[in-house]
Amino acid sequence: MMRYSRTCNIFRVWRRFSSISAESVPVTESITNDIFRTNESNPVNHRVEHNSRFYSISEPVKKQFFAGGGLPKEYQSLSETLNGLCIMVRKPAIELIHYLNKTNFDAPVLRYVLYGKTGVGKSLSLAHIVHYGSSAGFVLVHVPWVPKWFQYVKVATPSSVHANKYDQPIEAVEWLKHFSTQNGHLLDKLELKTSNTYTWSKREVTAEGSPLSELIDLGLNRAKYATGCIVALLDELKKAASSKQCRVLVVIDGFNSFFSRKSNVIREDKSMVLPSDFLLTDALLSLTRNDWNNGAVVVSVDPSAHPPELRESPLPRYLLGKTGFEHLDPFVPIEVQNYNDKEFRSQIDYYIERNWLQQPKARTDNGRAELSFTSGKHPYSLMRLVAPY
Amino acid sequence: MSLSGLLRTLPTLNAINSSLGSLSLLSRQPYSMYKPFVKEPVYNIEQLDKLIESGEAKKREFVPVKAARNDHNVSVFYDDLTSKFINMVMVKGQKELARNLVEMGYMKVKQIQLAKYYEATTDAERAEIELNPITIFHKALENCSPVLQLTPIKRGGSTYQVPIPITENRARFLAMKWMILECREKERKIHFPERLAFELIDAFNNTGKVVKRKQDLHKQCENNRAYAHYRWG
Repeated sequence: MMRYSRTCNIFRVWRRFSSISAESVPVTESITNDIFRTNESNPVNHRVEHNSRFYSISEPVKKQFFAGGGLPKEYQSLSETLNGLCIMVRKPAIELIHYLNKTNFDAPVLRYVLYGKTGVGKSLSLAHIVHYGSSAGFVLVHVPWVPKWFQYVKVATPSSVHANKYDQPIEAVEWLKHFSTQNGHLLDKLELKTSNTYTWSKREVTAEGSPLSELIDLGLNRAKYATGCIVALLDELKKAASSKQCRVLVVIDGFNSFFSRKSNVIREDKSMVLPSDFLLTDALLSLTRNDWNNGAVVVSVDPSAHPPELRESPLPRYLLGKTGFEHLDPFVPIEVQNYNDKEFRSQIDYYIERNWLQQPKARTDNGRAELSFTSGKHPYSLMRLVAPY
Repeated sequence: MSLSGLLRTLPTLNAINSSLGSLSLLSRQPYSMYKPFVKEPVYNIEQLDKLIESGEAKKREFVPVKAARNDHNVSVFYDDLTSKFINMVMVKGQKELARNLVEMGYMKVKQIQLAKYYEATTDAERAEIELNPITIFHKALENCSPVLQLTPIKRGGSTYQVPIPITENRARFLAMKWMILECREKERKIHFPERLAFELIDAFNNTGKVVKRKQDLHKQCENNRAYAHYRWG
């Protein structure tokens, strides 16, 4: 829509939609002569041109992928307040999407490690990749936040499958539900079958050649065998991927927690159960090894996934420790940084457009300069600074 | 003698002017470390520019000024009333906690109002919804500020509650005090920030418990208007 001013300069005016909802993806008046939104809601098509722009995720998509976790809590509640989940397309995600699009799936699985300070945008980049993964036809193995499995374990029982390891029945059932919600339709379509017989007890047996959904259902119904089911499931997926039946994308947030030295589970003799003593750890470490192909592994390491004493550095070598680093080596490190100028401007524009940044003085150039200084363009700090005003 | 010595006096109890202890509310002097001629600092950049333009700055060049306070700043988010409110919420010097509570309260106010805003279907409805938490806070305080207050005055053996005029400072103080007390009431399942948000929005709409308390005070004043002349003996 073109308008002519008195001085005969042409201004482009965007139509203001009267119903404000994420569904209609409103394109509003340009705020700093730069568009901060994009209509491209399929992450497979996100490229460098979409950098620093917000793309919206519809409610059903959000429920499907993030109901079991994956979005930081505060960000999720903020998105509910602002009437729609929008994620900023940033360089780490674009880089990953580019790599994943160009992967040679015959070669062994490549590991990508997102690293950066706490609050800089790693979890959201991973959420973006989760959305991309499903749009691109990957089977998603998504662990939303690993420390939840070790720091806040509700019940830990000695494993029925492995003598010296521990089960986490409640967490396992939760994760199986999350997995089946994320991959529901895809699994039905792919019709993957088990390649082994799994004997759970005298009466419960999962025969060879039965569909994977049976395995998942067993885990969902019998918490006792849920962890064992996950081990079996991940094993099957690995084999299926290597034999080209499906393509698997492993996305894990807070990977360094697997190599942490603390959990909240204590044995009767007061000794602590380490993360490495849990069966789920073994399962996921096996999946993140590069001894299979036709897939990709995207992982994030975060200081906050470790107990407070181990948060000195955000770098992968420190956070993973010797065992972790040797497990993941060689990997592609991708740094997630603070906002650059364009992203920062875009974020403020978004807050203003969504009526979140209310103070009139803060909307001026002076206000933006102040926010840029006090937050250091750190995404989480900016969110906290803008929240009350 | 040092500058600070010049500016400050030893704290002394000021004699209460009136022989009638009942008027102490009015005549009690503020307990200040500074001598009366020491001016308040002007730190707001816009105000400073105005002073320089109008020539006032020249006159103030050699006037002693009080020390800068920690919470005075030129941030675009700075609000005098909010700062005062945070100080009143503060207990045992825990300023950061008090600030966080009030700021969380403001965030909740925004959340509640935005929920209404995004539910509204017409532009007219949307225009009516106030989203700025500071505006809501100011209006709420205005709605909660009493216009009269009661003071106990002894006449002939019995004490009467006499309605008297109220200063702006006292009215503002009472509004803030009542608001805070209401937010700290009884069941602690709903925490301070949420209660503050609900109370602020209620007061903004001229409803709620704090406004009721003000209105009760006004009613009492109205009931006791017969004793108003006791103010002057």
